[in-house]
Amino acid sequence: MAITTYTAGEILTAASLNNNFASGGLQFISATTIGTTVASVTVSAAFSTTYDNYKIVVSGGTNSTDNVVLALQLGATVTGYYATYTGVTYSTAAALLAADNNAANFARPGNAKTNGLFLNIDLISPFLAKNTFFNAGATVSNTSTRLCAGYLDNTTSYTAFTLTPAFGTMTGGTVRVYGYTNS
Amino acid sequence: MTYAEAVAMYPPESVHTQIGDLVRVMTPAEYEAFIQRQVDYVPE
Repeated sequence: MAITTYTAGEILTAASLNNNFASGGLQFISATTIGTTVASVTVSAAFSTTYDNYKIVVSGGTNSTDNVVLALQLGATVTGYYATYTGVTYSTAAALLAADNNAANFARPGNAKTNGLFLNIDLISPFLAKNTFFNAGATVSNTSTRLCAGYLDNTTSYTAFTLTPAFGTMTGGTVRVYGYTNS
Repeated sequence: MTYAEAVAMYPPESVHTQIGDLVRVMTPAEYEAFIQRQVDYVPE
Protein backbone atom coordinates (compact mmCIF):
# COMPACT_ATOMS: atom_id res chain seq x y z
CA MET A 1 0.00 0.00 0.00
CA ALA A 2 1.24 3.45 -0.84
CA ILE A 3 1.64 6.01 1.94
CA THR A 4 -0.92 8.82 1.85
CA THR A 5 0.37 12.38 2.10
CA TYR A 6 -1.74 15.22 3.44
CA THR A 7 -2.22 18.90 2.87
CA ALA A 8 -2.68 21.60 5.49
CA GLY A 9 -6.15 21.56 7.02
CA GLU A 10 -7.10 18.16 5.61
CA ILE A 11 -9.15 15.82 7.82
CA LEU A 12 -7.11 12.76 8.79
CA THR A 13 -9.27 9.65 8.88
CA ALA A 14 -8.50 6.60 10.99
CA ALA A 15 -8.50 4.42 7.90
CA SER A 16 -5.95 6.59 6.17
CA LEU A 17 -3.68 6.83 9.19
CA ASN A 18 -3.89 3.08 9.83
CA ASN A 19 -3.02 2.46 6.21
CA ASN A 20 0.06 4.63 6.63
CA PHE A 21 1.10 2.80 9.78
CA ALA A 22 0.75 -0.51 7.98
CA SER A 23 2.65 0.78 4.97
CA GLY A 24 5.84 1.59 6.85
CA GLY A 25 8.97 -0.37 6.08
CA LEU A 26 9.67 -2.22 9.33
CA GLN A 27 6.78 -3.36 11.52
CA PHE A 28 7.44 -4.34 15.13
CA ILE A 29 6.30 -7.91 15.89
CA SER A 30 7.61 -8.87 19.31
CA ALA A 31 10.16 -8.29 22.05
CA THR A 32 11.36 -11.15 24.24
CA THR A 33 13.35 -10.44 27.40
CA ILE A 34 15.98 -13.08 27.99
CA GLY A 35 15.89 -14.66 31.46
CA THR A 36 18.68 -15.55 33.87
CA THR A 37 21.39 -18.12 33.03
CA VAL A 38 19.63 -19.20 29.87
CA ALA A 39 21.49 -21.56 27.53
CA SER A 40 19.08 -20.96 24.64
CA VAL A 41 16.07 -18.79 23.95
CA THR A 42 13.31 -19.73 21.52
CA VAL A 43 11.05 -17.08 20.06
CA SER A 44 7.77 -18.67 18.95
CA ALA A 45 5.20 -17.15 16.61
CA ALA A 46 7.89 -14.91 15.13
CA PHE A 47 7.08 -15.58 11.48
CA SER A 48 3.69 -15.71 9.81
CA THR A 49 1.85 -15.13 6.60
CA THR A 50 1.77 -11.39 7.32
CA TYR A 51 5.37 -10.79 6.21
CA ASP A 52 7.75 -12.50 3.82
CA ASN A 53 10.96 -11.06 5.28
CA TYR A 54 12.15 -10.26 8.81
CA LYS A 55 14.79 -8.51 10.88
CA ILE A 56 15.91 -9.86 14.25
CA VAL A 57 17.90 -7.61 16.59
CA VAL A 58 19.39 -8.74 19.89
CA SER A 59 20.97 -6.26 22.30
CA GLY A 60 21.69 -5.74 25.96
CA GLY A 61 22.26 -8.53 28.47
CA THR A 62 25.40 -10.50 29.03
CA ASN A 63 26.98 -13.88 28.36
CA SER A 64 28.76 -15.78 31.13
CA THR A 65 31.81 -16.21 28.88
CA ASP A 66 33.23 -13.41 26.81
CA ASN A 67 33.43 -13.28 23.06
CA VAL A 68 31.68 -16.40 21.79
CA VAL A 69 29.60 -16.75 18.66
CA LEU A 70 25.80 -16.71 18.83
CA ALA A 71 24.01 -19.27 16.68
CA LEU A 72 20.54 -19.17 15.13
CA GLN A 73 18.39 -22.23 14.42
CA LEU A 74 15.05 -22.21 12.61
CA GLY A 75 12.27 -24.34 14.09
CA ALA A 76 13.51 -27.82 14.99
CA THR A 77 15.72 -28.17 11.92
CA VAL A 78 19.27 -29.30 12.72
CA THR A 79 20.68 -29.92 9.26
CA GLY A 80 21.10 -28.14 5.95
CA TYR A 81 22.51 -24.79 7.07
CA TYR A 82 25.05 -23.25 4.70
CA ALA A 83 26.87 -19.99 5.30
CA THR A 84 30.21 -18.27 4.89
CA TYR A 85 31.89 -15.83 7.21
CA THR A 86 34.69 -13.71 5.79
CA GLY A 87 36.57 -11.40 8.06
CA VAL A 88 39.80 -9.84 9.14
CA THR A 89 41.66 -10.28 12.41
CA TYR A 90 42.46 -6.93 13.99
CA SER A 91 45.91 -7.74 15.35
CA THR A 92 47.39 -9.17 12.18
CA ALA A 93 45.04 -7.96 9.42
CA ALA A 94 45.00 -11.59 8.32
CA ALA A 95 41.96 -13.01 6.58
CA LEU A 96 39.61 -15.03 8.75
CA LEU A 97 37.37 -17.52 6.98
CA ALA A 98 34.72 -19.86 8.36
CA ALA A 99 31.82 -21.79 6.92
CA ASP A 100 28.69 -23.70 7.85
CA ASN A 101 28.53 -26.68 5.49
CA ASN A 102 25.32 -28.64 6.00
CA ALA A 103 25.55 -27.52 9.62
CA ALA A 104 23.10 -27.87 12.51
CA ASN A 105 22.44 -24.11 12.61
CA PHE A 106 23.77 -20.78 11.39
CA ALA A 107 26.70 -20.95 13.77
CA ARG A 108 28.11 -17.42 13.79
CA PRO A 109 25.70 -14.64 12.81
CA GLY A 110 25.91 -12.98 16.24
CA ASN A 111 28.26 -12.42 19.12
CA ALA A 112 27.80 -13.04 22.85
CA LYS A 113 30.05 -11.09 25.18
CA THR A 114 30.21 -10.43 28.88
CA ASN A 115 29.20 -6.84 28.16
CA GLY A 116 26.35 -7.62 25.78
CA LEU A 117 24.61 -9.79 23.21
CA PHE A 118 24.81 -8.63 19.61
CA LEU A 119 22.83 -9.79 16.60
CA ASN A 120 21.42 -7.94 13.59
CA ILE A 121 20.15 -10.39 11.01
CA ASP A 122 17.77 -10.23 8.07
CA LEU A 123 15.87 -13.43 7.21
CA ILE A 124 14.36 -13.81 3.77
CA SER A 125 11.24 -16.01 3.49
CA PRO A 126 11.45 -18.11 6.69
CA PHE A 127 7.68 -18.67 6.67
CA LEU A 128 7.36 -19.27 2.94
CA ALA A 129 7.80 -22.74 1.47
CA LYS A 130 11.18 -21.72 0.06
CA ASN A 131 14.81 -21.69 1.12
CA THR A 132 15.48 -19.23 3.94
CA PHE A 133 18.31 -16.83 3.24
CA PHE A 134 20.09 -14.68 5.79
CA ASN A 135 22.41 -11.74 5.77
CA ALA A 136 23.79 -10.61 9.09
CA GLY A 137 25.96 -7.80 7.83
CA ALA A 138 28.79 -7.97 10.29
CA THR A 139 29.62 -9.84 13.43
CA VAL A 140 32.14 -8.07 15.60
CA SER A 141 34.21 -9.81 18.25
CA ASN A 142 37.21 -8.94 20.37
CA THR A 143 39.52 -10.28 17.71
CA SER A 144 37.86 -9.81 14.34
CA THR A 145 35.01 -8.45 12.26
CA ARG A 146 33.21 -10.73 9.80
CA LEU A 147 30.68 -10.36 7.02
CA CYS A 148 28.32 -13.27 6.64
CA ALA A 149 25.45 -14.65 4.60
CA GLY A 150 23.93 -18.02 3.97
CA TYR A 151 20.83 -20.10 3.47
CA LEU A 152 18.90 -23.05 4.87
CA ASP A 153 18.49 -25.69 2.20
CA ASN A 154 14.89 -26.81 2.59
CA THR A 155 11.41 -25.47 1.87
CA THR A 156 10.00 -25.81 5.38
CA SER A 157 7.73 -23.07 6.67
CA TYR A 158 9.00 -21.76 10.02
CA THR A 159 7.29 -19.81 12.77
CA ALA A 160 10.02 -19.93 15.43
CA PHE A 161 13.77 -19.57 15.91
CA THR A 162 16.26 -20.31 18.67
CA LEU A 163 19.39 -18.41 19.68
CA THR A 164 22.23 -20.28 21.39
CA PRO A 165 25.68 -19.06 22.44
CA ALA A 166 28.48 -21.46 21.57
CA PHE A 167 29.59 -21.47 25.19
CA GLY A 168 28.06 -20.38 28.47
CA THR A 169 24.70 -18.89 29.34
CA MET A 170 22.94 -15.62 28.65
CA THR A 171 21.30 -13.31 31.16
CA GLY A 172 19.15 -10.38 30.20
CA GLY A 173 18.96 -8.60 26.91
CA THR A 174 16.10 -8.38 24.45
CA VAL A 175 15.28 -10.23 21.24
CA ARG A 176 13.28 -7.95 18.96
CA VAL A 177 11.58 -9.19 15.79
CA TYR A 178 10.40 -6.94 12.97
CA GLY A 179 8.65 -7.67 9.70
CA TYR A 180 9.35 -5.99 6.39
CA THR A 181 6.06 -4.78 4.99
CA ASN A 182 4.94 -6.61 1.86
CA SER A 183 4.12 -3.87 -0.59
CA MET B 1 37.23 -28.36 29.12
CA THR B 2 36.48 -31.81 30.43
CA TYR B 3 33.00 -33.16 31.05
CA ALA B 4 33.54 -32.99 34.82
CA GLU B 5 34.78 -29.41 34.59
CA ALA B 6 31.73 -28.42 32.56
CA VAL B 7 29.36 -30.01 35.09
CA ALA B 8 31.18 -28.28 37.93
CA MET B 9 30.94 -24.93 36.16
CA TYR B 10 27.28 -25.41 35.22
CA PRO B 11 25.37 -27.64 37.68
CA PRO B 12 22.04 -28.88 36.31
CA GLU B 13 19.91 -26.53 38.39
CA SER B 14 21.91 -23.51 37.25
CA VAL B 15 21.20 -23.75 33.51
CA HIS B 16 17.89 -22.89 31.91
CA THR B 17 16.01 -23.10 28.64
CA GLN B 18 13.70 -20.32 27.55
CA ILE B 19 10.74 -20.67 25.19
CA GLY B 20 8.96 -17.39 24.75
CA ASP B 21 8.63 -15.89 28.22
CA LEU B 22 8.83 -19.28 29.98
CA VAL B 23 12.19 -20.02 31.60
CA ARG B 24 12.67 -23.51 33.00
CA VAL B 25 15.40 -25.88 34.13
CA MET B 26 16.68 -28.12 31.35
CA THR B 27 15.52 -31.65 30.82
CA PRO B 28 18.25 -34.29 31.28
CA ALA B 29 18.64 -34.61 27.51
CA GLU B 30 18.88 -30.85 27.04
CA TYR B 31 21.41 -30.64 29.86
CA GLU B 32 23.57 -33.38 28.38
CA ALA B 33 23.57 -31.57 25.03
CA PHE B 34 24.50 -28.33 26.77
CA ILE B 35 27.38 -29.92 28.69
CA GLN B 36 28.65 -31.60 25.54
CA ARG B 37 28.59 -28.25 23.75
CA GLN B 38 30.78 -26.81 26.48
CA VAL B 39 33.18 -29.75 26.21
CA ASP B 40 33.38 -29.47 22.42
CA TYR B 41 33.75 -25.69 22.35
CA VAL B 42 36.79 -24.35 20.55
CA PRO B 43 37.36 -20.59 20.90
CA GLU B 44 37.44 -18.76 17.58
